[in-house]
Amino acid sequence: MLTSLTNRITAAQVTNPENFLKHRYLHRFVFFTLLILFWQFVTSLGIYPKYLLPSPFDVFETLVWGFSKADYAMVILQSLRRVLLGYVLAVFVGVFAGLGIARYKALDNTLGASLTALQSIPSVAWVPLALLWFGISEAAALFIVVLEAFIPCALGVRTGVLTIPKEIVRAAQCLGSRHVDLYVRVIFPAIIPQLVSSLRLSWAFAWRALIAGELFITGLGIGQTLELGRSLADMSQVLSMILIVAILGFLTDNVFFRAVEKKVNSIWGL
Amino acid sequence: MSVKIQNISLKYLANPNGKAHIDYILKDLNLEIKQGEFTCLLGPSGCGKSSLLGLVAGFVKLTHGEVLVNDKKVVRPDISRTLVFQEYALFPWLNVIENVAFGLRYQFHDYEQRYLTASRYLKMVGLIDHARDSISQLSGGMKQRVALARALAVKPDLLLMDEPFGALDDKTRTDMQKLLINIWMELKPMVLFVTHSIDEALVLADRVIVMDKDKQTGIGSIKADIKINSQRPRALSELGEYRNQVVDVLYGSSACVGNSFDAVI
Repeated sequence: MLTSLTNRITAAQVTNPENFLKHRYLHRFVFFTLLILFWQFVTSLGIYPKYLLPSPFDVFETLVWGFSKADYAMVILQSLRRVLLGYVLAVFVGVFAGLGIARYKALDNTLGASLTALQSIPSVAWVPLALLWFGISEAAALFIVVLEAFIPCALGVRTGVLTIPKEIVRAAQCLGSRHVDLYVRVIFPAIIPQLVSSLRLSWAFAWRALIAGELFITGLGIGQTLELGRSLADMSQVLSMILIVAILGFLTDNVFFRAVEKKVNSIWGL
Repeated sequence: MSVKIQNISLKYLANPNGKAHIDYILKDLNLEIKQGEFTCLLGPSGCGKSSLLGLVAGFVKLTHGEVLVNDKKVVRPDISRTLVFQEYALFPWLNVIENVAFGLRYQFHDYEQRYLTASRYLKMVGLIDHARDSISQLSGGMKQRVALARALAVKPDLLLMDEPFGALDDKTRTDMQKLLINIWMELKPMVLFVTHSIDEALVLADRVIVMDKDKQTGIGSIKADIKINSQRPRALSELGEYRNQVVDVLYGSSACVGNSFDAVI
């Protein structure tokens, strides 16, 4: 039965991709409608107080209010600015760390091995340290973002460099490319497909780390607004912020990065 | 112009069962290639022919001896010896003509000149209409033509080819052999061509260097140096005598073998 189901899906996909896409959107629409209806139903039972479980309509109202009367747009922009700044720094550090690790065995044995350990530490674990070092300021959040986001980038670049087919490098060498020129003209372009997936992963890490960091610092931002919602017992605001985080994450990851990945893979023939 | 391979030995750190033991792949090997000569290195897998090519290219460090190209010692890969690989090794982020022009960057500062030179070689391999195509759109045979144009465009003294047509189907392979011979007759570079196909070696080469490895020591050595004095283009049917010579060297006179070493095991 499972086989017949898969057959049907693949057949639909092959014969009419547009149709298949339409199905995808239809499925999503139905799913989210049902989810919201269920949520509405549970709240309308009145078992939970409004400050613990607001209705979908309350959350919607808060969002409308937030964007029209309050500063939600600015909140989002500030968070985006912060995460972008941290991300750019992280990618910069990550790419060079990755190239270094891939180039020198001694670095790989030391720094490379510690990166894997470092990766297992959740970003929140760094918050106390960051707050003591940098105070409850933006620098603390940036520190956490960079620390989290440079790791997948460094590891990805390392893997990318180490898995470049030997022949590609050799072909370039016997055509006269050496040293920095070899890095710029061959090694760097050769790892771009791997780099793009690492950038995607780094972005996801940066985004998580940012929200974690922002919960504890001052200033304008999604994390701060989330935390403010908690202290005011305004669950609508908390849920609004969580929705915004989810939607922004979905848009960047599934829309932006997926498109870039697709394009790159088609050029690189993957 | 010539290539002199003098008394070379290559040690190989074999590590099959975690026990490191040092072995020779090649020992005290000598070979000289003269100006304009098309030389094939022929032999079964593991006889050291590809290692020899790697040494001449400068990728592999010699244990003893030296390789001289135009009386200059080979220390690292450089533009005087270019390589064509079995797996093409093209740069997928560059289009066809940019691939061909890759090495020209180090010879011409002028973009126009690089472009014109690359176009000339693309025309030679019959791909000028595909100059702006991306690599992923090309078939295997076309990729290998691009690789050939890229290797020739920098005017190397020595063209090294490591089983370049091994991944192609029979028809494409035959076409590529014809194309290669036509280009070679026009430009007359020195060629060192590694193959394990007897017929390919016979059709292409001026000289077939037959290599094999010793069963006990595993050291590869030259078993025969056969000159092919036959007009090009050649038909396989005329080459029976040479073929027997090669087979004699490798299997003794009574042996009956197919086209390539793969067929005999």
